[in-house]
Amino acid sequence: MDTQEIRNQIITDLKLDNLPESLQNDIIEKLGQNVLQRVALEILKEIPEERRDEFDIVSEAGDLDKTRFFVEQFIPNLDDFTKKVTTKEIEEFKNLANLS
Amino acid sequence: MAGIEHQIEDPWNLAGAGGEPPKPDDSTEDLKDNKSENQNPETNSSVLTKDAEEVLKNIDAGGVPFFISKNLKRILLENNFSDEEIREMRPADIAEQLRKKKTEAIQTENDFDKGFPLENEGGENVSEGGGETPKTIEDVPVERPEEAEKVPEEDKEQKFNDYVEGLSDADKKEYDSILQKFENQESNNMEGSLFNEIKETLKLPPSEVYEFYEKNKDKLTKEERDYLSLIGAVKEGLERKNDKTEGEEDEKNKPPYNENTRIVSNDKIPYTEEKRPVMEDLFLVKGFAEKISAKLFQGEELSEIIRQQGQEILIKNGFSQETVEGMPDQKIKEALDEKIKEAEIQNLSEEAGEKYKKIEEALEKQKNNIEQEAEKAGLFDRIRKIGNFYRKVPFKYKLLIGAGIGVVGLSGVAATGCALALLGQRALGGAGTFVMVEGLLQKLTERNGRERSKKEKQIHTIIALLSGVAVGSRGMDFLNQHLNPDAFMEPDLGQDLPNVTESVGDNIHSTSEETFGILPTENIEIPPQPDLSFTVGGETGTVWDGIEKTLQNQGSFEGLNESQQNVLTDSIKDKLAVMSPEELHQIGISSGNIGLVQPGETIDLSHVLGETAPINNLTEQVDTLPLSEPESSLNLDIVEPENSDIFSNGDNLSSNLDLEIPEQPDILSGDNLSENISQLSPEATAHMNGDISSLYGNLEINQSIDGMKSAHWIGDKGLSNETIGTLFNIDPNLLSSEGVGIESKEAVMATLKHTDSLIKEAKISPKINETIKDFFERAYEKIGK
Repeated sequence: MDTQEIRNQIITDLKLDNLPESLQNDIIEKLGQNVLQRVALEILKEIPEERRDEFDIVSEAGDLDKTRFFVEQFIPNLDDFTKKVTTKEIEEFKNLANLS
Repeated sequence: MAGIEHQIEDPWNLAGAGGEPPKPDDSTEDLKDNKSENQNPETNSSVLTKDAEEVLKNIDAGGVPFFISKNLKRILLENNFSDEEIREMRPADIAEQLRKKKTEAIQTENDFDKGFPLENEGGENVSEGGGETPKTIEDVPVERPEEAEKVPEEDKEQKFNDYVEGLSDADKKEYDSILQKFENQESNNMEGSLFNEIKETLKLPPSEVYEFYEKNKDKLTKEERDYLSLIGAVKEGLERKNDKTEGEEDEKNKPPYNENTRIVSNDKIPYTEEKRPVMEDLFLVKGFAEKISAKLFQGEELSEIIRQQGQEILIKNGFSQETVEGMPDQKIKEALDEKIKEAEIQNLSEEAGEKYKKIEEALEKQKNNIEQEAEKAGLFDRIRKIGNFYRKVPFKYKLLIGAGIGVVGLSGVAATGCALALLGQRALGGAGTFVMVEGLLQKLTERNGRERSKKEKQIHTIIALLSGVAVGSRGMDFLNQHLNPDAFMEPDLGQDLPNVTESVGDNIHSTSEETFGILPTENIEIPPQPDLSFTVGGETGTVWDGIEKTLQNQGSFEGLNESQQNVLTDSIKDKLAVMSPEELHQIGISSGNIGLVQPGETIDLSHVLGETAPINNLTEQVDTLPLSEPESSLNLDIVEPENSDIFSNGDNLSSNLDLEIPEQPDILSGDNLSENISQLSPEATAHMNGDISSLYGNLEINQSIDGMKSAHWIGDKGLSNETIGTLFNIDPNLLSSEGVGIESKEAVMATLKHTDSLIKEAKISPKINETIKDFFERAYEKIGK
């Protein structure tokens, strides 16, 4: 599946077919931003406040494995967690925009 | 138009001399002089400047300018078009406007009755022979574009070549870059490339170039679009889809889009109805905006010509000259995007307009909710930073790291990775790394003589993007750890894409497997995942027996000798031992205590061994182990209570067990560091000293120097006394190979790598404030146990 196919799938799923391409892209971009920010927020919220500085040190080193290792102390099923958050955010968007 | 009226009142300035208006009596003479110096002798025109005549000729030959460049603007100003007129002028209108200007001047002359010769564009005298004096532009014989298209092909080619030759250095560089990029596709033999077809567009008239674009726009790559735009703009020119009259009719027939939803640019430039955005040639402008976006993402500055073109589009669409001058590149890009959007919104039907409005409101509401929650949690700045970065990413990557994750089902691994990488960003300048990493991945994959599949390219893009974010050498470490692209994919790749709406109900968890993990591919077959759960007791026996059997079923023992298998099994035990009660409960241990496992309980190891688990790291770790029987890799002090038969093959499975689970290290509590460091055992000391001797000894030019005595390790700049926090915050790429210890690129890299392997092996986290030596000691002590 290339990016065009991914795009088409998103358009179909979000029922954006009758909008011009640039507006479709605009919606995908904004939704993507919301999703990513939501995922990041929910991950950070799970990290106790007193450990967030520590998280900064680990994550800013740029080694994703170490960052993961750190976060998994607080969110053991990290990828499932991300999926749930992502799905929920998209579903919420659909409901708000009457796209369900 | 007001400007033209003004010029009719003052016709003497039409020659663009800019000097004192000549007196009526000697006007003919003056104009003759002017003509001899400034007019094109071929056209024999005395109305437009020579440059303007040249512009007219070029346009008639098919070279409609893409933008009103500075030079073109100068020419128009010289021919007494006002700033306002020029701002409202579309490139395609220039010829018409010049002709109009010429005719009006002729009319004016006629009205003044100065005996001024009336000429058409070819310089023919149209007032001779007793014919009726032309009064309007329609009366003047004008060479029409249809006739212009009859210009011989060779002439067009020559004009095109001349045009390219005449480009400024910056423009020529831009042109060459696009051309080269595009031409390279031929040798790449890209699947589905329209290269040959596009090449043929060189020979097509403008209308067919546009037709070709419309027909194939969904299949075109960015390079192809760039190329088409360029060719269309500088060689053939593009005809508008509909002529102006039709466009105006359409506009009248369409219901106006609700004004409340109009996006107002950040510059808050108010639009009057007359100054609504004019975005004809929309697709060119879109291509242009995309090009700007890609350049900015790669950390490049816009060339002067590109910046200027962007500014001119904005001016045409309502921005003032003052606003766009000095506008940062990123701002130009964002403003262009807004303009494109505005133009599209204006064309929406009422129904589509309403839908878009609701969607915009929904997105805005979600955004506000996120920001409010982030603010409450004291996380606003971090979340905003992610948004800022995301906005700079070109669209195709946004598909992969944003909505694509949720809707299409790119795996949670990728989503998590993106979020973590973005959270960990230290700076926003990692785009250069992105380019480098993507290129490196391509080389690594293709060095075996095979081409990357589409899927691999896509995954590499994600990896490269993340690495680009994780600025510095650690991005490369990350890259090295994720060279297996399948790590980003979900297991059931062969299934059809689901509809999220259908598959996600109230119970998201139960449907997540249906919803996600789907990325159909024609190339990669993923074997069915084995069952990663087992029931304690019965045939399975003890917990550890269950782990071993599960590993066996999963195929994790393949290629490992018995010792390595033991180590791997122990690693899993370690993982279970440090899990929290909630986590243990989640995997099926109802008590939440690894020591209180009841017979009959089914333990699910999927999150320990499944796709989310760092099983590859464990396997790598095992691969490095010596073949001799390890003393023990368990880092748990297991205290078996009475009746702890669950660990044996005994039958008393109902017995409770107690394990002393080590406390989670408190990394920030640097005050208590000394308490955490135990006296090194002789074995651990020997192990550590041996490794350090080798680690830093190898960096010495004189190989006889013991690494323990190396200046890289001890002394003022020695790494032993530096803190972990310092080590993690150094970018080795900024260091010299000539330095020593903390200032040596090689020594820092070697230490980072060694620290990394100790973290994995000892399963402990370093503390920010502890020294590297202290951490090493803790790690070796743990490993030695």
